[in-house]
Amino acid sequence: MRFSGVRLIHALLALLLVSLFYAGSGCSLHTHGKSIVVATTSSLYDSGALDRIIAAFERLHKVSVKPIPTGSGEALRLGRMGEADLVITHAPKEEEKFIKRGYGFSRIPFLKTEYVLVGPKDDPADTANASSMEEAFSRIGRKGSLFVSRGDNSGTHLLELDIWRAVGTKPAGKPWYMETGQGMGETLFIANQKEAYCLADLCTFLSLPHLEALSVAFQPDPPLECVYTAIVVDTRKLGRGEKNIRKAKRFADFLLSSECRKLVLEFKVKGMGLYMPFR
Amino acid sequence: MKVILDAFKEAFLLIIRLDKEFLSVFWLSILVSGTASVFGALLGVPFGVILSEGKFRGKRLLLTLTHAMMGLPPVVAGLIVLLILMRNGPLGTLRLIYTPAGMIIVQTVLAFPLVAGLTHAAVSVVDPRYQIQARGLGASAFQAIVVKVKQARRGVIAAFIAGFGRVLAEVGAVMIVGGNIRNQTRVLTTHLLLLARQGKYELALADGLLLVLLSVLVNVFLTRAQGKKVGLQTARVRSYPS
Repeated sequence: MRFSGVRLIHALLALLLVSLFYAGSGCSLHTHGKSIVVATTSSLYDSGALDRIIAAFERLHKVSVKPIPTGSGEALRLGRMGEADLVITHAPKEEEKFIKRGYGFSRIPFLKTEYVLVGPKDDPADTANASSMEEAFSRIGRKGSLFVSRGDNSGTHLLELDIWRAVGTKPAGKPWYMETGQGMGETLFIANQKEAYCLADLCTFLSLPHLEALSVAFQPDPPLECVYTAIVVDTRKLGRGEKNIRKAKRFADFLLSSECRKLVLEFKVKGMGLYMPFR
Repeated sequence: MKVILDAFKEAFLLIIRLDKEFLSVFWLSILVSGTASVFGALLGVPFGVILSEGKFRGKRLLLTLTHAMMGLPPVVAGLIVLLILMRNGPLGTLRLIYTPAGMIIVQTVLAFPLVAGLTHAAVSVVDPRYQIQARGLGASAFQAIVVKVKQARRGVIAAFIAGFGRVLAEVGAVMIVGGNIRNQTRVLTTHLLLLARQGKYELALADGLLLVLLSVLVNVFLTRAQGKKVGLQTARVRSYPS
């Protein structure tokens, strides 16, 4: 009697494992090989907006999308290597280079939000009274206030470096300057814990929880625009087939469609709509 | 194949050139993992001995718990320590999050059960006649235990080797608790991850080689500490006619 009890438990466990395996594989096996890889800048991903867009697209077009969040620079690199079928970035200069070298077809800007300077609530570098983002950065550099950078060649990082260059400050190696090498979300969490300044896109900042120590320190007017651009990768250049180009083009078309525009306008973070369709 | 060989060659050159970035992560890895394994051993060895020699209720449960903790996934340890050390957490005022000290704490948490569990395994199989003889010669209970632990010396050192190996190799816990900040909390494993994600494979391999190098160097010393006789050591314990 006791013996068959143990056997029954083993049988049930085996059944459970097998059914879990089937349930799991049911989700992925069907789409394996049929999906397109979208390398995206992490700021669009961290806010949750990209997931919504992808979900709507997958429902309408039956094409599976695999988003890979990294920085803009790395997304473009994945595109160059043919590891991604479509890239979403916000680094205009790098995007131009990408297209010029024939890696992608064209730039498709589809979404915009704005950059803000976030920082500790007591604003030690008095950035609130700055007249421009450049001046705010300059004040931080002079005061030596803690600043966290993404340090990952992302669009945000490249813009941040442009601003430092414009005010003639070289932050690399300074004790108040921290580079995380990671995405917007992780970088903001670190800025929060260290009570440091950080350049961030407004949408990601507002959509993340647990950032109690930070607030918007300086918001430029007119807004410093953060434009998200999609580029379909020309995988033919690497000798890879055209199969995914069609699907990627469908996704790019969806990004400009009225359904997507509606989604973007309805995407609210803490009650505020912060993404706008590009046109 | 050529790509891989090229990568190795590049990696060697990078190490020989003593690049500042690599030296920084190399040194921090030694500091964090080394300190954590020492702390883990200072806590784990006595704990393991108590598990082996102690007689108390719930000993079996404690042992089971220790064994379970040996397999605690580093990311889980990292998450829990993050929740404790973050500013809103119970120990938030200590400001240890995203610092090397925080990383040492989480790695100690990972090393300690491993060292304890393996120490217990090593000490509990020592021939009890050592203790009996020591007691017979007038040793106190404590001194007798020390004799027993000395006999288990090889196993205890192996426990330390395992603990060090585990924390040197892990990436999840130090990533979550440390934040991988350049020149502050970046270690070999998290640096490698960053480089691999950026497609800088030769640089990532250099980190990999440094990790292996570090592990080999440390273990050369530790293995020597285990003692010269590699074969089975049998002690001559005479049993007295009762």
